[in-house]
Amino acid sequence: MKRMKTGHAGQATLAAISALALAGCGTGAASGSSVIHLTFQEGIQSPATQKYVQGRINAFEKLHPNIQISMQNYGAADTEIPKIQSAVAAHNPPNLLWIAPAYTGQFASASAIVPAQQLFKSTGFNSSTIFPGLLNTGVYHGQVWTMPFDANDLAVYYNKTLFQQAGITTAPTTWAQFLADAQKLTKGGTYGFEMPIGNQEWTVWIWETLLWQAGGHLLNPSRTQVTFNSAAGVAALNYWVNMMKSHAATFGPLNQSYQLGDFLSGKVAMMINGPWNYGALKAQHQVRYGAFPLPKDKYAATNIGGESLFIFNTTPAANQAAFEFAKYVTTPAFQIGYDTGSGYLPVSIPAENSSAYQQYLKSNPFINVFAQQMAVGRARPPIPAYSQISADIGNAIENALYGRMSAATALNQAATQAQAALKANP
Amino acid sequence: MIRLHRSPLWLVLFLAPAIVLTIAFFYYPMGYIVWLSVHHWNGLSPQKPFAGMAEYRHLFQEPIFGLVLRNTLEFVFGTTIPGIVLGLSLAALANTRLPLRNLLRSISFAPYLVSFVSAGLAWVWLASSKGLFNQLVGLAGFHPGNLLNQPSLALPYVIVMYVWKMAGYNMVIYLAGLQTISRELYEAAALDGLSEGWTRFRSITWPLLRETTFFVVIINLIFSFRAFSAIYVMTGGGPVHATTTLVYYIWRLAFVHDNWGQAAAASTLMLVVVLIITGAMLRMFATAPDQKA
Repeated sequence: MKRMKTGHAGQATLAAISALALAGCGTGAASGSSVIHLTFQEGIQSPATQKYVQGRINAFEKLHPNIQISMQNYGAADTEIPKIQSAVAAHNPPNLLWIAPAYTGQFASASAIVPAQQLFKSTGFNSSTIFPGLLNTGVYHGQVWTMPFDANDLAVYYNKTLFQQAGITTAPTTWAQFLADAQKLTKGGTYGFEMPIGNQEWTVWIWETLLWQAGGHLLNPSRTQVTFNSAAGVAALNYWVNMMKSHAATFGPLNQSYQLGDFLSGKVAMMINGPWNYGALKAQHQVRYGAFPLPKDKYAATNIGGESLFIFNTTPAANQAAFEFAKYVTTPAFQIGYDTGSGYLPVSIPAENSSAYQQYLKSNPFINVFAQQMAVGRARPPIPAYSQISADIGNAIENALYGRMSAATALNQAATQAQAALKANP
Repeated sequence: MIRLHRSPLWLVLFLAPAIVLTIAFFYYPMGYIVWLSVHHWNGLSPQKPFAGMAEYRHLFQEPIFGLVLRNTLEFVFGTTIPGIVLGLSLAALANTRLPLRNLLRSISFAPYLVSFVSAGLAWVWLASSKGLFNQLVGLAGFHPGNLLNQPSLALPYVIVMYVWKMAGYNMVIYLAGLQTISRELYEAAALDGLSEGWTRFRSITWPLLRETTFFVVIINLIFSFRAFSAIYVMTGGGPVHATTTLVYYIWRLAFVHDNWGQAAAASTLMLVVVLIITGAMLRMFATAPDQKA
């Protein structure tokens, strides 16, 4: 009988282990308390900025004792979308996501996120405090879905010492001047310009500014037809092709041309980048740096970037609590400290107009270049097919820059594929 | 009571966790992928309309699909064959009475312990225009620039990194194989006048390592077919798709192009290709003539 008893114990143990193993596969259970726990996933790179946001979250939790927010860093933004798609498919998304508003349509069309606009009235939120251009970056089918968190755009970084050595005294303002200056700067192992390369979003994001400068558009006004393969698009891509052919530019690291390595080592005299590196640039002593607006062709244009808060649809209480935090983020109390610490630009008009922020701009001319450029900023269309269209344009840029196809052929081939994607995901 | 232990109930109970987990995490996802390959799905929509064989047709019509298959075969055989040769060479060296053989074993195995992401990033820096490789060839007057930016060099460079990473694993398996070969065989061969070196290796060591080699070949083929992290981290499949292998292409179809049906079709195709190659290997090793010394 002893063996029999051991047998029962063994069966019970096995059953318990199996039950535990299966239980481990499930999601966490509700706490049952009245406190609402929110997960907030972000890709903020600077530790100082992360620390600031965590401090503001602590302050927010004091104002709202029934809300607790857990901040989780997801690393590089370009790699976050697949993770979020998986989380949505598994019905386990975060409550709040910090990411580019270009992805609004993708999640809105699948009803994975809550339209922020539905909560404006019930929570007494005055949306006119947000720059309208930024609010529009989160509009899909006539409704605001995502809440602006921070803003940025693109300008040119330049090495002041190399400019001085090349005898360049004023920043180039046109495509022709920019190419001429890049050629002057190219000597002795230094290249005038770092060409972004790779078929991912960073390269495409920069190229879109040239498309707009040349008078082109990604889509027609009704967003039913891709138009980036227009004459303006071909001119924009040919401008880069010619710059490579003239040896005034060198490729940056593949798919990582946002890295500062070549600029800081003096290998390149100019690169296109955003204001978020200001802290890193201030901390280094290798290069005397400055920034100037992107040169123009027919028009001046930059690409508005930055991040918005996506509120994923979980429970009504959690959605409401997440919106409370999104509202708090737009207040000057959050924005001024965040922007002056990170180099990002404010999304809130009162924050931008505040004397504290205006004083900051006066004493930081590097950031002021990016702030001034917002006037000519345009945004990527927040449609569901954007990431596919971007991937197709990325392939076209690579094919043209590596000389595999002419700019026109590459863009036409990309347009055919992008049009199919747009039709499949209108 | 002994009979009770042999009853089917016990068998089922002991096997249940393994069976449940295997079905849940292996056979169910595999079946689901095959099912998904005949449906349209964008990854987020609740609707998955039936598509028949359309996704397979579209897959073969993709302009870069031929290049992807070629890259895949180049990567798989380019990593497997040198990886096995290097692993066996290291194992042979580590199996001798060299004074620093433990150090050799540790150094050879260390890369395998590093994650592909960390190793990949390190090799990205080594390939950069200011990296080690450029500095070395710079001494001879060559300045190739960033190796990963060049379509003709990117895939070979990723292959070299992968071989470096996996050689230690192959070495350990071969070392275990070598240590099962009785020394008496070598002594008997020496008495029969068989010279040391290549002849001894060809006549005794290699035939007796046949089963080990079979295992190493299959494992390396499977690892190489599903290699993703190194390519994801080092090249993102570029430049101009020069390093886009089938598994990376599947990821891109699903997560960038939101075309999960086509990604599932490519996955199913990959499953078939791996099954065919593994089957061929199995047949080759099973029917190879017995070459025991």
